[in-house]
Amino acid sequence: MADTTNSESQGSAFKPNFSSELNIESLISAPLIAASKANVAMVTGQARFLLEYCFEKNEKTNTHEPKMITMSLSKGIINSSKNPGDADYIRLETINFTLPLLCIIPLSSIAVDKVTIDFDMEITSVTSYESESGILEKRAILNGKISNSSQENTDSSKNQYKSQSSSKLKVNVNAGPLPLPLGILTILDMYNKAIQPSPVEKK
Amino acid sequence: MINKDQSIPCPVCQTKIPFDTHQLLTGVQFSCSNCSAAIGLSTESKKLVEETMVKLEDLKTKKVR
Repeated sequence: MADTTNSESQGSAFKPNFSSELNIESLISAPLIAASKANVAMVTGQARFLLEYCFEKNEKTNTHEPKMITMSLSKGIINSSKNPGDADYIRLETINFTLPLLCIIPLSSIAVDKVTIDFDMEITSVTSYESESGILEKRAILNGKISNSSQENTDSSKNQYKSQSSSKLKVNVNAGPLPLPLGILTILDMYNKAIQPSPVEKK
Repeated sequence: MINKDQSIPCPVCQTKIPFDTHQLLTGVQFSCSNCSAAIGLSTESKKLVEETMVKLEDLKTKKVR
Protein backbone atom coordinates (compact mmCIF):
# COMPACT_ATOMS: atom_id res chain seq x y z
CA MET A 1 0.00 0.00 0.00
CA ALA A 2 1.37 3.36 -1.00
CA ASP A 3 2.29 5.85 1.67
CA THR A 4 0.43 9.04 0.96
CA THR A 5 1.70 11.08 3.90
CA ASN A 6 4.71 12.43 2.01
CA SER A 7 3.20 12.79 -1.40
CA GLU A 8 0.62 14.88 -3.09
CA SER A 9 -1.52 13.75 -5.93
CA GLN A 10 -3.04 16.36 -8.18
CA GLY A 11 -5.14 14.77 -10.84
CA SER A 12 -3.01 12.15 -12.56
CA ALA A 13 0.31 13.87 -11.79
CA PHE A 14 2.28 12.50 -8.87
CA LYS A 15 4.18 15.11 -6.91
CA PRO A 16 6.22 13.81 -4.01
CA ASN A 17 6.41 16.21 -1.12
CA PHE A 18 10.03 16.36 -0.03
CA SER A 19 9.49 19.28 2.29
CA SER A 20 8.33 17.10 5.15
CA GLU A 21 10.84 15.67 7.58
CA LEU A 22 12.27 12.23 6.89
CA ASN A 23 15.06 10.30 8.52
CA ILE A 24 18.27 9.94 6.54
CA GLU A 25 18.07 6.14 6.46
CA SER A 26 14.75 6.24 4.61
CA LEU A 27 16.06 8.69 2.02
CA ILE A 28 19.14 6.60 1.25
CA SER A 29 17.55 3.19 1.48
CA ALA A 30 14.56 3.84 -0.78
CA PRO A 31 16.54 3.96 -4.09
CA LEU A 32 18.75 1.06 -2.94
CA ILE A 33 15.71 -1.10 -2.18
CA ALA A 34 14.26 -0.21 -5.59
CA ALA A 35 17.52 -1.26 -7.32
CA SER A 36 17.66 -4.47 -5.31
CA LYS A 37 14.06 -5.30 -6.24
CA ALA A 38 14.86 -4.68 -9.92
CA ASN A 39 17.81 -7.10 -9.73
CA VAL A 40 15.69 -9.75 -8.04
CA ALA A 41 13.01 -9.40 -10.72
CA MET A 42 15.59 -9.89 -13.51
CA VAL A 43 17.28 -12.89 -11.89
CA THR A 44 13.93 -14.51 -11.06
CA GLY A 45 12.84 -14.11 -14.66
CA GLN A 46 16.01 -15.84 -15.90
CA ALA A 47 15.69 -18.70 -13.41
CA ARG A 48 12.03 -19.21 -14.35
CA PHE A 49 12.98 -19.24 -18.04
CA LEU A 50 15.66 -21.89 -17.46
CA LEU A 51 13.34 -24.16 -15.48
CA GLU A 52 10.41 -23.70 -17.83
CA TYR A 53 12.07 -24.02 -21.22
CA CYS A 54 15.42 -25.76 -20.71
CA PHE A 55 14.26 -28.39 -18.22
CA GLU A 56 11.37 -30.78 -17.95
CA LYS A 57 9.83 -31.64 -14.64
CA ASN A 58 9.70 -35.32 -13.81
CA GLU A 59 6.53 -35.70 -11.78
CA LYS A 60 7.51 -39.14 -10.46
CA THR A 61 10.83 -38.15 -8.99
CA ASN A 62 9.89 -34.47 -8.55
CA THR A 63 13.13 -33.41 -10.24
CA HIS A 64 13.95 -31.30 -13.25
CA GLU A 65 15.66 -33.05 -16.13
CA PRO A 66 17.37 -31.15 -18.96
CA LYS A 67 15.78 -31.04 -22.38
CA MET A 68 18.19 -32.65 -24.81
CA ILE A 69 18.95 -31.71 -28.39
CA THR A 70 20.78 -33.64 -31.07
CA MET A 71 23.76 -32.26 -32.92
CA SER A 72 25.68 -33.76 -35.78
CA LEU A 73 29.42 -34.14 -36.08
CA SER A 74 31.00 -34.53 -39.51
CA LYS A 75 34.57 -35.65 -39.93
CA GLY A 76 36.64 -36.86 -42.82
CA ILE A 77 37.91 -40.43 -42.27
CA ILE A 78 40.79 -41.88 -44.27
CA ASN A 79 40.05 -45.32 -45.61
CA SER A 80 43.37 -47.14 -45.22
CA SER A 81 42.35 -49.92 -47.58
CA LYS A 82 42.11 -47.45 -50.47
CA ASN A 83 44.83 -45.60 -52.33
CA PRO A 84 45.22 -41.80 -52.05
CA GLY A 85 43.99 -41.32 -55.60
CA ASP A 86 40.75 -43.26 -55.12
CA ALA A 87 37.44 -41.45 -54.92
CA ASP A 88 36.44 -42.82 -51.52
CA TYR A 89 39.91 -42.55 -49.97
CA ILE A 90 38.52 -39.88 -47.62
CA ARG A 91 34.91 -40.44 -46.69
CA LEU A 92 32.77 -38.09 -44.64
CA GLU A 93 31.56 -39.78 -41.50
CA THR A 94 28.63 -38.26 -39.61
CA ILE A 95 27.88 -39.09 -36.03
CA ASN A 96 25.28 -37.65 -33.67
CA PHE A 97 25.68 -36.50 -30.13
CA THR A 98 23.18 -35.18 -27.66
CA LEU A 99 23.64 -32.29 -25.31
CA PRO A 100 21.34 -30.28 -23.07
CA LEU A 101 19.53 -27.38 -24.73
CA LEU A 102 20.89 -25.16 -21.94
CA CYS A 103 24.41 -25.49 -23.37
CA ILE A 104 23.62 -23.63 -26.58
CA ILE A 105 21.21 -20.96 -25.34
CA PRO A 106 22.99 -17.58 -25.17
CA LEU A 107 22.01 -16.61 -21.66
CA SER A 108 22.50 -12.95 -21.00
CA SER A 109 21.09 -10.30 -18.76
CA ILE A 110 22.00 -7.03 -17.23
CA ALA A 111 21.75 -6.03 -13.61
CA VAL A 112 22.07 -2.85 -11.63
CA ASP A 113 25.69 -2.77 -10.48
CA LYS A 114 26.05 0.82 -9.30
CA VAL A 115 23.62 3.23 -7.69
CA THR A 116 24.62 6.82 -6.94
CA ILE A 117 22.34 8.88 -4.75
CA ASP A 118 22.95 12.60 -4.74
CA PHE A 119 21.01 15.08 -2.65
CA ASP A 120 21.52 17.96 -0.26
CA MET A 121 19.83 17.53 3.06
CA GLU A 122 18.87 20.11 5.59
CA ILE A 123 19.12 18.60 9.03
CA THR A 124 16.05 19.67 10.96
CA SER A 125 16.44 17.57 14.08
CA VAL A 126 18.76 15.04 15.66
CA THR A 127 17.60 12.37 18.00
CA SER A 128 19.64 9.68 19.67
CA TYR A 129 19.02 6.47 21.46
CA GLU A 130 21.10 4.15 23.55
CA SER A 131 21.65 0.77 22.09
CA GLU A 132 20.68 -2.25 24.13
CA SER A 133 24.20 -3.66 24.09
CA GLY A 134 26.00 -0.90 26.04
CA ILE A 135 25.49 2.41 27.79
CA LEU A 136 28.33 4.18 26.00
CA GLU A 137 27.08 3.28 22.59
CA LYS A 138 24.80 6.07 21.53
CA ARG A 139 23.35 6.19 18.12
CA ALA A 140 22.11 9.32 16.42
CA ILE A 141 19.27 9.56 13.98
CA LEU A 142 19.37 12.50 11.61
CA ASN A 143 16.06 13.85 10.49
CA GLY A 144 15.71 16.43 7.80
CA LYS A 145 14.38 17.37 4.44
CA ILE A 146 15.87 17.55 1.01
CA SER A 147 17.18 21.07 0.43
CA ASN A 148 15.33 23.34 -1.91
CA SER A 149 17.17 24.67 -4.93
CA SER A 150 15.75 27.96 -6.12
CA GLN A 151 15.91 28.99 -9.74
CA GLU A 152 15.12 32.44 -11.01
CA ASN A 153 14.20 32.86 -14.62
CA THR A 154 14.33 36.33 -16.08
CA ASP A 155 12.30 37.27 -19.06
CA SER A 156 14.06 40.46 -20.20
CA SER A 157 11.45 41.45 -22.76
CA LYS A 158 8.65 41.62 -20.18
CA ASN A 159 10.74 42.39 -17.11
CA GLN A 160 9.15 39.52 -15.28
CA TYR A 161 10.83 37.30 -12.73
CA LYS A 162 9.73 33.78 -12.08
CA SER A 163 10.96 32.00 -9.01
CA GLN A 164 10.82 28.25 -8.87
CA SER A 165 11.91 26.13 -5.97
CA SER A 166 12.26 22.39 -6.16
CA SER A 167 13.68 19.56 -4.11
CA LYS A 168 15.90 17.17 -5.96
CA LEU A 169 16.94 13.67 -5.08
CA LYS A 170 19.21 12.59 -7.93
CA VAL A 171 19.60 8.85 -8.40
CA ASN A 172 22.03 7.55 -11.02
CA VAL A 173 21.60 3.91 -11.86
CA ASN A 174 24.22 2.03 -13.87
CA ALA A 175 23.47 -1.39 -15.23
CA GLY A 176 26.06 -3.82 -16.51
CA PRO A 177 26.34 -7.44 -17.61
CA LEU A 178 26.69 -10.07 -14.95
CA PRO A 179 28.84 -13.17 -15.29
CA LEU A 180 27.02 -16.49 -15.20
CA PRO A 181 26.29 -17.66 -11.67
CA LEU A 182 28.63 -20.37 -10.38
CA GLY A 183 25.76 -22.85 -10.19
CA ILE A 184 24.94 -22.54 -13.90
CA LEU A 185 28.65 -22.61 -14.83
CA THR A 186 29.03 -25.87 -12.87
CA ILE A 187 26.01 -27.40 -14.59
CA LEU A 188 27.28 -26.32 -18.03
CA ASP A 189 30.74 -27.70 -17.30
CA MET A 190 29.28 -31.02 -16.13
CA TYR A 191 27.07 -31.32 -19.20
CA ASN A 192 29.90 -30.40 -21.58
CA LYS A 193 32.16 -33.05 -20.10
CA ALA A 194 29.47 -35.68 -20.57
CA ILE A 195 29.15 -35.21 -24.34
CA GLN A 196 29.43 -38.63 -25.93
CA PRO A 197 29.18 -39.18 -29.69
CA SER A 198 26.95 -41.97 -30.96
CA PRO A 199 26.85 -43.38 -34.53
CA VAL A 200 24.03 -42.25 -36.81
CA GLU A 201 21.44 -44.91 -37.42
CA LYS A 202 21.26 -45.55 -41.14
CA LYS A 203 17.72 -45.77 -42.44
CA MET B 1 24.24 -13.10 -16.29
CA ILE B 2 26.01 -13.34 -19.58
CA ASN B 3 27.44 -16.30 -21.41
CA LYS B 4 30.29 -14.74 -23.36
CA ASP B 5 32.03 -18.04 -23.90
CA GLN B 6 29.59 -19.77 -26.23
CA SER B 7 31.52 -22.92 -27.00
CA ILE B 8 31.23 -26.65 -26.62
CA PRO B 9 34.06 -29.15 -26.43
CA CYS B 10 34.72 -31.12 -29.61
CA PRO B 11 33.41 -34.68 -29.07
CA VAL B 12 36.54 -35.99 -30.83
CA CYS B 13 39.45 -34.07 -29.28
CA GLN B 14 37.82 -31.91 -26.55
CA THR B 15 39.08 -28.65 -28.10
CA LYS B 16 36.57 -25.86 -27.52
CA ILE B 17 34.51 -25.06 -30.61
CA PRO B 18 33.09 -21.52 -30.50
CA PHE B 19 29.63 -21.20 -32.03
CA ASP B 20 26.71 -18.84 -32.47
CA THR B 21 23.24 -20.22 -31.82
CA HIS B 22 21.54 -17.99 -34.40
CA GLN B 23 23.95 -19.23 -37.07
CA LEU B 24 23.46 -22.84 -35.97
CA LEU B 25 19.75 -22.35 -36.62
CA THR B 26 20.45 -21.24 -40.18
CA GLY B 27 22.35 -24.47 -40.82
CA VAL B 28 25.90 -23.21 -40.38
CA GLN B 29 28.44 -25.76 -39.17
CA PHE B 30 31.34 -24.86 -36.91
CA SER B 31 34.72 -26.55 -37.29
CA CYS B 32 37.12 -27.67 -34.62
CA SER B 33 40.42 -25.81 -34.98
CA ASN B 34 42.35 -28.90 -33.95
CA CYS B 35 40.81 -31.88 -35.76
CA SER B 36 38.62 -30.12 -38.37
CA ALA B 37 35.50 -31.97 -37.26
CA ALA B 38 32.40 -29.89 -37.98
CA ILE B 39 29.41 -29.63 -35.67
CA GLY B 40 25.93 -28.54 -36.62
CA LEU B 41 22.41 -28.64 -35.33
CA SER B 42 20.41 -31.63 -36.46
CA THR B 43 17.13 -30.92 -38.23
CA GLU B 44 15.09 -32.78 -35.60
CA SER B 45 16.22 -30.39 -32.84
CA LYS B 46 15.93 -27.21 -34.88
CA LYS B 47 12.31 -26.57 -33.91
CA LEU B 48 12.95 -26.89 -30.17
CA VAL B 49 15.95 -24.54 -30.28
CA GLU B 50 14.05 -22.06 -32.44
CA GLU B 51 11.09 -21.99 -30.03
CA THR B 52 13.36 -21.53 -27.03
CA MET B 53 15.22 -18.67 -28.70
CA VAL B 54 11.90 -16.95 -29.42
CA LYS B 55 10.93 -17.32 -25.75
CA LEU B 56 14.30 -15.88 -24.71
CA GLU B 57 13.81 -12.86 -26.97
CA ASP B 58 10.32 -12.40 -25.51
CA LEU B 59 11.79 -12.40 -22.01
CA LYS B 60 14.40 -9.80 -22.99
CA THR B 61 11.88 -7.44 -24.54
CA LYS B 62 9.21 -7.90 -21.88
CA LYS B 63 8.62 -4.67 -20.04
CA VAL B 64 8.92 -4.63 -16.26
CA ARG B 65 5.46 -4.20 -14.80
